[in-house]
Amino acid sequence: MEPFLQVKNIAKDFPGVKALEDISIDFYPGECHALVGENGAGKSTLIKIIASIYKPTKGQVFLNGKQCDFKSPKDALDAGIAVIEQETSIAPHLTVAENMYLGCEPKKANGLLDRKKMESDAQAVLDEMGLEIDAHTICATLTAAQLQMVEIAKVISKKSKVVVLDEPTSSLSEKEIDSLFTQVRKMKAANTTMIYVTHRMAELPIICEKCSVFRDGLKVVEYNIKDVNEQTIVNSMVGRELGAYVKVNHEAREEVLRVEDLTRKGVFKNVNFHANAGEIVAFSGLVGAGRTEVMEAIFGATKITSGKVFLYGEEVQIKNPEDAIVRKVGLATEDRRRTGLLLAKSIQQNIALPNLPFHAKYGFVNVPWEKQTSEDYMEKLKIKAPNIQTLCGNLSGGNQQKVILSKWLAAGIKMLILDEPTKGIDVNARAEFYALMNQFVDDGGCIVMVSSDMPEVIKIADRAYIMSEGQITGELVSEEITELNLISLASPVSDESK
Amino acid sequence: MKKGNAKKIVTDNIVIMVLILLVIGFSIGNVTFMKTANIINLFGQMCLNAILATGLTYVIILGGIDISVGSTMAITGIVVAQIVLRLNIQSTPLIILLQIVCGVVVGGIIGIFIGWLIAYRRLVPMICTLALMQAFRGLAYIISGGGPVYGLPNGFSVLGAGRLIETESFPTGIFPIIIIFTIVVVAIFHIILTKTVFGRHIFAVGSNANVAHMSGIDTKKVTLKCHMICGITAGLAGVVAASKVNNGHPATGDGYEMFAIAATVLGGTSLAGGSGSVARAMFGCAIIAVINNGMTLMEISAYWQKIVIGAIIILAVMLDMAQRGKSE
Repeated sequence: MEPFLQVKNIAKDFPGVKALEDISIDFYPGECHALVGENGAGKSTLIKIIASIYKPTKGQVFLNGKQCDFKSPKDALDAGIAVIEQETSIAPHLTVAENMYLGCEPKKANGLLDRKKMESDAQAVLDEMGLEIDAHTICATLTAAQLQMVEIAKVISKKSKVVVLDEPTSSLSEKEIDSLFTQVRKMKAANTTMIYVTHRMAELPIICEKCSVFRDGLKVVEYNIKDVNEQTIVNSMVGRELGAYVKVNHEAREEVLRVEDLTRKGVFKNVNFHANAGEIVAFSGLVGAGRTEVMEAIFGATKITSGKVFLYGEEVQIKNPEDAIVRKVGLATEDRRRTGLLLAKSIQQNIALPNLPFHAKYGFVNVPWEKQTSEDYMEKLKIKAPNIQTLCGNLSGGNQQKVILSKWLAAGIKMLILDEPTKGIDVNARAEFYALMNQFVDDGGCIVMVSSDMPEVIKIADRAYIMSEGQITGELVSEEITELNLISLASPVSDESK
Repeated sequence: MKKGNAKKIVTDNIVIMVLILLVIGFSIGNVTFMKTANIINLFGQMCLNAILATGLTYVIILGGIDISVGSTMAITGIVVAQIVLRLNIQSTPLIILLQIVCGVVVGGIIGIFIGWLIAYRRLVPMICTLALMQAFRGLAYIISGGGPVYGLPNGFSVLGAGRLIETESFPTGIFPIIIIFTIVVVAIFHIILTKTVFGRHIFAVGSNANVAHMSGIDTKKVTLKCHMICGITAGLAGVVAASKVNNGHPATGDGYEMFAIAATVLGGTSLAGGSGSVARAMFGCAIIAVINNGMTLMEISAYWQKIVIGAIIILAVMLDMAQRGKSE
C-alpha cells in the first residue's frame, strides 16, 4: 500500500527557535497515525504545515505521490486536507447546515442559495453518522461535544481525504468519546488518512495503528501501536525512564468544607459532601453533570437557591468570589485561557491579582511584595519562562496552570478547588502538577478536584464523589475508586444501555 | 539583535516620534511656531482636551466609552455660572473653589449616573452615552435659559484665562494658570491609574472581566468608579471652558468628545481595553494641538486641519491593530 500523505525532511524555524528539524513521516490511507509528545515538542507546528497555515523552512509535503505547492490554507482545504482543532471553529449564530456548508454552499441555477438542498444534504450526513442532531439547529444551543460532531460532519460532507484531529477528546465524556471513535473507524473504513494528536495515552491502542513520538522538534521514533505498551511510549516522549506514578496515601485531618443540600434550581439538587484537610477529593461524572456549576456556586461566582456551606464547622455566606478568597477558598477554573488568567498580562501581574488588596499600602500597590512573591513561586513551582514579566499568553498550558496555582498559594488558600486542572497538559507536566497537589495537601491544605479523566481520578484521589444530572449519585473511598464504579455511578438514571 | 531593539523602540514610541517630526516640520514651515509665546499658547490650547482625555482613558481601558463628555462640560459650566451670578459671589478665591467643587461634584454625579446605567443596568456604553449626550445637551439649554449665562465678575475667568508672573513685556502675565491646573489634574489621575490597587483592577477588568471577577474584584463597582472619574474630568473641563470665555454657554464642548477619544487612541490606548496610559494620551493631545496650531500659523484652512487630524487618527488606529496582530 502506498502512503497517501508524506512529509519529507520538514524543518521549521521561528525567530530564535527551531520548532521542527528533519521530520519525515508516511501516513497511510485507512490508518490512524498518532502524534504524541510533550507540549512544545512540535506536533502542532507539523499539523499547521500540513494544513498550509505555515510554510516549512525546509522539506516538502507530498499528497498521493505528488509534491504539494500550497500557497494558503484554502489550497490545502481544496485538496482535501481537514483539521479539527480542540477549539471548534463554528459560527454560533448559524445553523448546523449553514456551518457544514460554510464557504461551499450549494447554489441554484440562478446563483441563489439552494437552502433546501443544503439542509437535506446536511441532514443526510448527520443521520448517516448516527447523530440525533437536526440540521436546522442553531449552533449556539449545542454542547461542546455536539459542536465537535458537527465539525466532523463538515469534514465528512466534504469527503476529505486527510483528517487531522487535534486533541479532540479533552472536552468529551466517555459516551461522546465512543461516538467519536465510531466516526473515526467509519472514516478509516472509507480509506481516509487520519492523523490523531493526543495526550491521553490510553486512547492510542483503541483507534490508532501507528504512533510518531516528538521530542524537542525531532521525531525520535515511530511505533506500531500493537508492538509497544504505554510506558515505552511515555519514556520515548520524555527521553528517560519516567517512573510510573506512585499513589500517595494521605491522612485526612480536620473537616474543611461541608456542603449541605446545596441546590440551584434547574442545575443541581441536594448536593451533600465534605472535604478534609490533607485529602484530595475528586468529583467525577459526565461532562454536563453539574460539577463545575456546584464549584462555581461554592466559590460565590454564581447564586444558589438553597442549601448551606460550612467552612471549618461554621456556616458561611459566600456571596461573591471576594468572600471566598477572604475565607481562603480558591477556584482554578475549567477554561484557564478564558477565565483563569489575564493572557495579555505578565506572570507577576497575574500572581498578584487576587492579592492586591491584602498587601497594599494605603491603596497603593505593593510592588516589592509583588516582585518578590512572583519570583519565589516561579522558582518553587519551576515555572518555565524567561522571567516574571513574561506574558501568560506565551506560556505552555502546564506553566499557565502553575501560575494559577501560584496565585492561590500566594493568597494563603487552604481550600483549593481545581476544575479539570490537567486538561490539555502533557504527561510530564501532569506528573509535576500532581506532585504539587500532593505537597499542598500534605502541608494541611484541602483539594477538591473536578476531573473527567478517570485514570487521573483513580491515580490521585483519596475519595471520589460522582455526579449525574445535577445530583450526587455516590461516594467512593480509596480502593472503591475503580473505572467500573465510576462509570456505573456516572450514567444518567434513565440510561439502561450500560 | 540590535536592529530588532531599535525597531521595537521606534514602534513603541511612534507617537513621540511623530510629534517630534511635526514640531520640526512646523518650525521650518513658520518662524513664529517655536517662539515662546506660541509654545505657551499651544500648551494652553491643549489643556481642555488633556483634562477630558484623562478621564476618558480610564473608561476606554475598562473597555467602554463615554461620548457624552462634551454635554457634561456644558452643564457644569452653566451650573457654576448660574451659582456665581445668582448668589452674586465676587471673591476670586471663592469663585475658583466653587468652580472646582462644581466640576467635581456635578461631573461626578453625572458620571455615577452613567456608570450605574452601564454597570448595574447593563446598558451598552455607546448607546447609553449617545442618548445622554443628546439629553444632557438639551438640559444645558434649559438650565441656561437658551443662551449664554453672562455678566460674571472678572474673578470667574482667572482659572481658565488668568496668567501668572506679570512683566513689562507681558503685562497680562506669562504663565497661564490653566496649564498648572491641568498638570495637577492629569498627574493625580495618572498616579491613581498606575500605582493604586484600583488602577490595577481597571486594567484587569478591561483585560478580561471574567478573570477579574473570579479573582475577587467587584467589576461593577470598578465600572461605576471609572465612569465617575470620567464625569469628574468632564466636569472640570467644563468649568475651565466656561472660565476661559467668562460665561456659561450651552453649546460648550460640542464635538470635544471626538478629540478626546482621538488623543487617547493616539496615545496608544486600545479601544478593546486592558491597556493604556494617561501620560501617553497627553502626547496624543500634543499632536492634535501641534497640528492645529502649526497649520493655523501657516494659514492653512481649518477645513484642511480637520482632514489631517482625521488621517492621523486612522494611521494611529492602524498602528494599534498592527501591534496587536503581532503580539497575538
